Amino acid sequence: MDLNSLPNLAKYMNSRLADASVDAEERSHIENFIWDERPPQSGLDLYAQRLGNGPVTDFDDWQNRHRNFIAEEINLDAEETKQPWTFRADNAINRLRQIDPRINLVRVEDADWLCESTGITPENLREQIAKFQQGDANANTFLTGIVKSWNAERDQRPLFATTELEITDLINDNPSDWAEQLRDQLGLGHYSPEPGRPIEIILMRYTVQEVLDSLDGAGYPAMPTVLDSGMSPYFFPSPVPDPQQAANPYYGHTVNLALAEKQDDYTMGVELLHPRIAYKPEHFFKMGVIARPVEMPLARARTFHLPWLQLDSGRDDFGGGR
Amino acid sequence: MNALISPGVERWRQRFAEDPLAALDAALTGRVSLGRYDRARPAEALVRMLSVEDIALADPAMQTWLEQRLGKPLPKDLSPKRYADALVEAFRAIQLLPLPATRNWCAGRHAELRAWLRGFCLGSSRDPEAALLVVLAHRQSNRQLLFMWREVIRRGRPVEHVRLALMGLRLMPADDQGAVERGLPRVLLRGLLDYGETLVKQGDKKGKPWLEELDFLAAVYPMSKDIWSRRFREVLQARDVAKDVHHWLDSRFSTGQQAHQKQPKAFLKPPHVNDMEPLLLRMHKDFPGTRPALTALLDYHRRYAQDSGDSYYLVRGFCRLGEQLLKHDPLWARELAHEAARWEPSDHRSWSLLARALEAEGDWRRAEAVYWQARRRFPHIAHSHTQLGHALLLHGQEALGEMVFRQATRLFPDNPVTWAELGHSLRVTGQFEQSVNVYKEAQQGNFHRNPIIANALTDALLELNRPDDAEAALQWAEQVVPDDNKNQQILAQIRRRLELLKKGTPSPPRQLQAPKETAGGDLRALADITGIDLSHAPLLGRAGLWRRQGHIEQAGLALAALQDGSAKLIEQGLLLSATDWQAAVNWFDGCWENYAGDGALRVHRLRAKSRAGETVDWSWEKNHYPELLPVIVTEEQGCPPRYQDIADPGEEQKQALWFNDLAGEQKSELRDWAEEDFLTARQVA
Repeated sequence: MDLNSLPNLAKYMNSRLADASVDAEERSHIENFIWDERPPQSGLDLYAQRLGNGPVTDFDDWQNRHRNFIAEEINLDAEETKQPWTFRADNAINRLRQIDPRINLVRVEDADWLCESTGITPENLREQIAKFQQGDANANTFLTGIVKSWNAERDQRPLFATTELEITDLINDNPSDWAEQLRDQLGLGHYSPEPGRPIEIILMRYTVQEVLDSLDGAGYPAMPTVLDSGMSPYFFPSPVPDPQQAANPYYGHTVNLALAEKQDDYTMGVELLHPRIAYKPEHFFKMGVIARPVEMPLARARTFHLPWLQLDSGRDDFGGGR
Repeated sequence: MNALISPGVERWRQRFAEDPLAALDAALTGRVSLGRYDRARPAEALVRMLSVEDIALADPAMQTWLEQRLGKPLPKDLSPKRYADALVEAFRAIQLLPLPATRNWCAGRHAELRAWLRGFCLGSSRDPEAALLVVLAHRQSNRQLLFMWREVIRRGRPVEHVRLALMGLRLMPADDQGAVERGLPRVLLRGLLDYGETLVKQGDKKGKPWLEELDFLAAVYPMSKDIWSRRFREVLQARDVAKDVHHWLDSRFSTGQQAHQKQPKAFLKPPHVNDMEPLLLRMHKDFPGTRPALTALLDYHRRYAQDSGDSYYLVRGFCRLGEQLLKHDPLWARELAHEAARWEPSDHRSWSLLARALEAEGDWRRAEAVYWQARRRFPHIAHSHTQLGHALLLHGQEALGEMVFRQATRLFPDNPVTWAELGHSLRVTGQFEQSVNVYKEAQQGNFHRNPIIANALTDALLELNRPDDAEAALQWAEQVVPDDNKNQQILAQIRRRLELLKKGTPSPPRQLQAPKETAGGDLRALADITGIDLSHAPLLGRAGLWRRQGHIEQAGLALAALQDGSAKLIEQGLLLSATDWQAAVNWFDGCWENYAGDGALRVHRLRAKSRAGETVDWSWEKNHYPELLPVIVTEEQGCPPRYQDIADPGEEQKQALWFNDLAGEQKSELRDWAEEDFLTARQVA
């Protein structure tokens, strides 16, 4: 990223990187911003505007200012006429226009608030999804009511999803800890519960075509960048690949949080961003429970991730050539 | 504890251990990193970060966080979106974490919280009030929120709130002891039917959103169609609904009456209006002796309303009795009026009774506030103006009272009472000539054959010691006054006074008796029906009144004494607009984000821009505040929208019809008044 347009942030980052005591999370955020090559200049200019003037005093200050950008340009209400920055013409370079509209995408959603806000229990929801999948008309009506409430309160924030192709084995094998494995594979470090306080999740499944249709046929998914969502230490930017060497440039790469001791045991996951779609009953795919906290240390995961990313993209120079 | 340490989480925990309130604030407002949970919503992050021990500290901290913000505008260091997000996250956290003290506090302050939160809603994904409703719907320990759920449903919009209110009824305990409701709650069916009626009043002919709710509930409570039909029939037996709602219902369940069907024994029958009348007759002869029977009847009303969710009979019964109690027991009348207003806050009769009961008690401070509030909330009801004017007159605020009456004659030119009251106020303040002029103007205008005006004119001429003119006026009165006992008695009195005047012994002019004014009660006790601090109402009312009369300086002084709030911001803008619309634009531009979700404030801002000659895009306001459409359309198109006839209009529709009549007039001043009053009414409703 060309940080010249973000001088205050650059100054802060440089001073922090020079400090040996900077922790793994803060370092991750700084690295992500330095390494991410994808945000176009207009996006950086907009970010600079929302970041405001004055020196960035500390990490919390940066987070706070970053959230200004997210609130004003990304997490927009469904009735706001402008699109999140991710899907504006400015960011066309990062849109995935060749993706096959027939394939399925899968997204992880937190079930807790959905159940609370509709007055049902996760067990009830699970049961109704199962009945619906067996063709029960009553369950269809039930889930229609649920998604109507849910859709109403969902904003336009870009949605992280993966392809069903990527997780088919996990879904088909259906191990008892599939939800935790999926969490790890998708780098969803914020789904790390305290012992005894499991997190109910829902997998939503829909086609790319439905995503495209959400913006009148033009809802192409996008490669995630540091500007598309709230900051996460588990995010890792994807390089612009070497056109001669890259195997498949058309997705982002998640930091895998499955516990691994060796680099060879590490595999990257797949992620992309897409515009909000209105959920329908048929999108409810599966429910699961995440009870095990994340076990993979962040720094190790990122250390394993970078070389694979360099290899995958044919960009040995990416990430400072580490 | 998570096996892996997240430095951000550790830092936040440390901060929480040192200062729970500051840490909570930082998390909710997004001012700090939450480490591994940065990408989670703050409420979800809190669920994951707080240990059981922490939660005990988080509960009072969260309550304090809300207490410190309740009633206040947007904090200076947050954008409207960020603040709306923070508020939503706060209520999500209250729901997702076990915070019983905060939850109970919210239930106790629901009206104030809702009125305040409405000022920060920026769309359905940034709707703190909706998040609060989720909190209130869960873990209800009694049926005390029944009033509120019904009120949300009766508003009918936004539909997301209606859904949450239906959920609130669904999750409400079966009784006040917290017994779990195992069946299909009767109040839920009544709530659903009320929602249908609201939609009909709003002009919905097809009832799609209603049928969607019905279908969803039918899926939540799996029962045969026969049982569903029977349940609805039971509710409809107690009180029927609009024809359209019947049609919608019949498209799913047959509700045609079946022969020999009886109301189930478990259900109370609705009270009958005739139950009250004999007791009222007895009461006038023997108040103490009738009291137990009245109390028992009121209790029956309450039990029926609580059981069925149907407050129709309660509100009417309580107001009927309250009117009769004003002389005997104003405190009891006040309690009944308060209770009736709680059940149906959109019924102006309860507010009127409440104000008069307070006044009868000698609690002028609260009575005055309620009179002004009623004037703000029910501008389309002439009585809310005249009773305010009358009260001001009685309590030594003659000039203000006269102003209220003068404006009422402009707002209700076809209502003889407003003219009669204006004339009366002039008479009792010794302005006899002016009062005669008012009566003559009325007579020459719309009330040539109006008996009230004719009698009053005669009376005023008598007070001026003009027997010839009085006699001529009396002759006219005799022609137009109906030939009934009451009117003929009044005429006879006037004749007697005329005879005395002719004999040179005129009757003394009528004088007002100063009412008692004792120490006032707590205005906060009325917050459950107002949602706002009513102590502002008199100053706000006076400021508007003075502004309209051109007394700008006085209006400014009244406002200066007020605490900040969106109503004050609006009135300040209007004050500036009296001389310079561009100054008003600058004012509104500088302050509207303090309550960026307040529809009335937003519309006033755009209205000022439009008046200042700017091109205005109304699309956001049109989408988000359909209840303000009459004003928006009038500003946009120069004339109010046309509405189809509605058989049984609700408060909102009545206000819209009144507005249309007034704003359709060519007199721009009246249009301005109508717009201001309409926006205020929708804001405080």
